[in-house]
Amino acid sequence: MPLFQDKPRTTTPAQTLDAHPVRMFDAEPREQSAGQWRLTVPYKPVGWAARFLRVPQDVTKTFELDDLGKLVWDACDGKTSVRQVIRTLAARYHLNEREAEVSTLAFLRTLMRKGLIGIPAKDAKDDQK
Amino acid sequence: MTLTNASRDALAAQRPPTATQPFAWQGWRLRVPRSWNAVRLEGDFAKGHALLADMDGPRLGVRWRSMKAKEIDAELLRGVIRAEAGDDAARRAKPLPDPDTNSEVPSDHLLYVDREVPGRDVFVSWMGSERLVELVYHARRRDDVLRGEIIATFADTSHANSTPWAVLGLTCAVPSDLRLKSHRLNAGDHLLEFVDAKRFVVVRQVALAEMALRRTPLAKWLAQQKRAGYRATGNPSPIELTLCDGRSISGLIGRFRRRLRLRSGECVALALHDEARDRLILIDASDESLARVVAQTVGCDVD
Repeated sequence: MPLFQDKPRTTTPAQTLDAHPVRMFDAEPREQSAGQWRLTVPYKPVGWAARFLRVPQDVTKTFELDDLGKLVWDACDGKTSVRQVIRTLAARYHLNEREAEVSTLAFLRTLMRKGLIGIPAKDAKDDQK
Repeated sequence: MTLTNASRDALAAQRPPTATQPFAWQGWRLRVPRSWNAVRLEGDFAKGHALLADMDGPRLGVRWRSMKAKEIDAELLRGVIRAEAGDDAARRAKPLPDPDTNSEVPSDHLLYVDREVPGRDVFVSWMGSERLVELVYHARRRDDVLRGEIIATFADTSHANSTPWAVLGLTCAVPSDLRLKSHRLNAGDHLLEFVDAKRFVVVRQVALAEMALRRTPLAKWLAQQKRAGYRATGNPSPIELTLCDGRSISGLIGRFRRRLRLRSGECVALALHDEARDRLILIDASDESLARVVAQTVGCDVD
């Protein structure tokens, strides 16, 4: 096991489902064509790029969302739990809950990795309890 | 064609909603609450296990294994329950009451209901296909789901002409002589492959069709079904099928022939759009009649 590695956080599936993701940017997706949405957010370099790159302030990055992605993005309001997002997605598109759960969690992980959404500190504390 | 949310809901409303959904696998079938879905499927017809769960955790485990009728006795059934839930459970397990006489008759099954919840109820039954099946219900509260829904609908379907399959919203019926060779169950893309000595059929269901067709047209979906070593014979032609539930769906049919003539071989591929369910149905089979027979059952209730 590598030295100096942070202890991995253990979050139970129930805690993940009860979390309330929140958008990190107040950006509204714009419809490009039927079922295609474009989300533009300010580019903030992270990690080594933040140290070594001098990025102008007005640089943005753009993400493309489909209908499902838009639904999940809209639901990341800090009030809607992941469980509710899954149920809404399953009901709207007549998916079974397992399909909706797998795809929603994968998409939320991607959004978190890109720094577009976060979990409020209250939920994070609940997760660690 | 682009469907609005309202028109999608209207199409879906043509199909009556039910509180339960079918789950059929390897020659047995039962109905489970809609929120329960398969999270693990292993084994084959002779031996295997399945685990169904909802968002909060496991709900039902199913284990099956081949066993001759002469091996079955009450002690063996109690042994199965003992291995799952302990000695006390094995002692307290009882057969279900006979619905005709309302008396408990010793037969080829036993049910153990845990005294405390949360707990595990165990039902063991021998099936006509010479398999012993064990249902382990993870009871969170005392309810009638195991007895009223699961056991009441539990059936051996391996002796019928066609075997029903139902998993994660993909339902179909396949001639009984074809066995499941492989399965791939990704979110929104489910595939079951069946084979026997000479024939094969691959059933694939993609959700959501409207979104999938926006990116890739139906003709391209059909072209992607071309198997390695085969070439298309002629252009794809339109096809319309009437499903078992009376609905009509349309799509394309393509025929393929083996590139090298060392071995004779043809296959046929169907790409169909089920608008009411918003699913894309892709069938790949060794002959057209088999493809049509299976395609007509996809999305229908397998009960």
